Amino acid sequence: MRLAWFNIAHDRMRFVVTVLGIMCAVFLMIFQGSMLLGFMRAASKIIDSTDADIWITGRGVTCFEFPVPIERRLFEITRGIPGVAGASRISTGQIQIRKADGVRQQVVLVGADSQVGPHFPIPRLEGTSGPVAPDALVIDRSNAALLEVRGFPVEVEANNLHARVIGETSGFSSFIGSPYVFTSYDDAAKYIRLGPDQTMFLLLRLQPGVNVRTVQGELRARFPNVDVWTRAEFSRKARWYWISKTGAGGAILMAALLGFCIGLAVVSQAVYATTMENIEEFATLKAIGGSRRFVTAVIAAQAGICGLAGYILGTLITLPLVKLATSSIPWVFTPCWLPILALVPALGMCVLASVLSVRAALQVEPARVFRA
Amino acid sequence: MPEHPLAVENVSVFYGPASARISALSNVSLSFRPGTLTLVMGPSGSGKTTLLSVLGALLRPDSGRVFLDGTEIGQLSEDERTRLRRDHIGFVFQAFRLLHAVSALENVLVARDVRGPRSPHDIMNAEATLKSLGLGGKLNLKPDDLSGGEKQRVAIARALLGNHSVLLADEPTASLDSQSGALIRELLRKLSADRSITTVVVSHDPRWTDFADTVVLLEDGRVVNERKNAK
Repeated sequence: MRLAWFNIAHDRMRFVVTVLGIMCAVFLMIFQGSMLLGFMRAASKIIDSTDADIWITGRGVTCFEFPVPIERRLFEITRGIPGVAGASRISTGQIQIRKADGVRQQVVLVGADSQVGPHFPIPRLEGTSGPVAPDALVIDRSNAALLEVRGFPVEVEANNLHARVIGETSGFSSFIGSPYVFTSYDDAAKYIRLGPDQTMFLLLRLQPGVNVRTVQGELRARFPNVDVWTRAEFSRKARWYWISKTGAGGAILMAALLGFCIGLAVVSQAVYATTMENIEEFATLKAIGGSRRFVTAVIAAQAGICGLAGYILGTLITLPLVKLATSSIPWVFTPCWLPILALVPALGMCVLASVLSVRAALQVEPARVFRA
Repeated sequence: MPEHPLAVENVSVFYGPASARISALSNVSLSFRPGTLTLVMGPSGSGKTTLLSVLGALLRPDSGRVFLDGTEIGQLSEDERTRLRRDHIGFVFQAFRLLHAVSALENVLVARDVRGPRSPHDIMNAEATLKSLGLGGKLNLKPDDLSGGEKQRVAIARALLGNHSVLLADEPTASLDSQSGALIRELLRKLSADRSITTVVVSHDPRWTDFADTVVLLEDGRVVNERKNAK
């Protein structure tokens, strides 16, 4: 380890360049990882914010944002199914909000019955369990500037009907371009002009102790024209849809992979150049009794030191930059385990980067030490 | 089994492809007494360095046997020969072969590092060895800051730190001025005698002759003369 450090420190400029390269790679990996995780979280945020055990959707619905209407009568029928404690509805659709300055803004309106769960944003007159305010909207804090909401209440038009923005929530920033706006189920049905016989999502809460799979199976058997998912299933389905079908996940993953490759190339080049520069010294080490393990350890330690330094710096710059990025990409999310996890590919790239160098050093003939 | 711990018996080494084989050593048999300094001389291409490589377990002979402390080293695996060099053989090279990124002290301690983790005693020992070679004030200087003679003394200190029974030196004074060369010659002779080290020096320099217990003359890969100096 000591020798590895001296070898690196001897050429400080190369060390600095190597560390900067790895730092950029670590930044890319953590940042892209945060984008991916944030994107996944945002893709199922509305689903996960309910406390429903079961979601009933139109046939073939893959995510919350693209619903298909289902018959409203299911709302009454399903409440009578054994094991079902309660049912509620959610409807969603694109509408236009006419802002105070007269400019219209496309938004995704989400309206829910008040029983969907305490974490779901509903415009209530007071608190989280009070009566629902009529013609009232709740916006996400990250969209306040876009919707020109600088205080509450703000009078607006929703699809040419009167409405008031009465409050804000957080964590519901949209990843599809149009901001989410929340209201009550009845007002949503009015604004999006949902037919009286239609609804979009039915959410069932089960009685304590009831097996979700059993009720799900029964619902599927009785209502073959709709899809019946557990909340976790629908959440996964929505995430998978947005990640795989839109190409967004692939693009983000590719960028993270690119970060890994950049880091790998930088540290490989640096470690290999350092090794080849010192190849005669490795021959000397072998001649004086340095084992293959010793030689390998010196090179691996060189790569490891570069990797660790780059990782620490990369992590240190990434966290404030991610925080900064949330001003324009509010759904970016960095769980605390992500930077720790990034240590694995950071050190992995160092191990990979050492392979060629170790090979070169182990192949050098120790007898060459006698050449002047 | 040979009489002395370091010996070669009928050793031959060839270079090049079978169709154009060049004999570097041809049936060489030599035995080296502990505590003595053997000087191997000969013109360029006579096989001196090849002999040193064979003795140092760096080169496997094509035929013949090499013994070190009772072990036939020609049959050992690569890893076993590495261990043997580490535990038994110290090297001094014409080009010093010091690690350029580390200090004189660290260069010496490398000989300890290849054996495993160093102890405070090892550091004190390395410092004492360097001091005994007149380098007490230069422990923390890097090779680039040392003169040729000083570098060679660091290399000798590195070879001594392992308490090896054999010291192999390839043209150890060829890169030095006459004063430094004389110092190194005296040093190696004294160390051989005082520490009972079997020292083999390869050199073109006839000034070594007076410091050697035995002088071996090689020509075309053969021993043409072996002379013991009267002391």
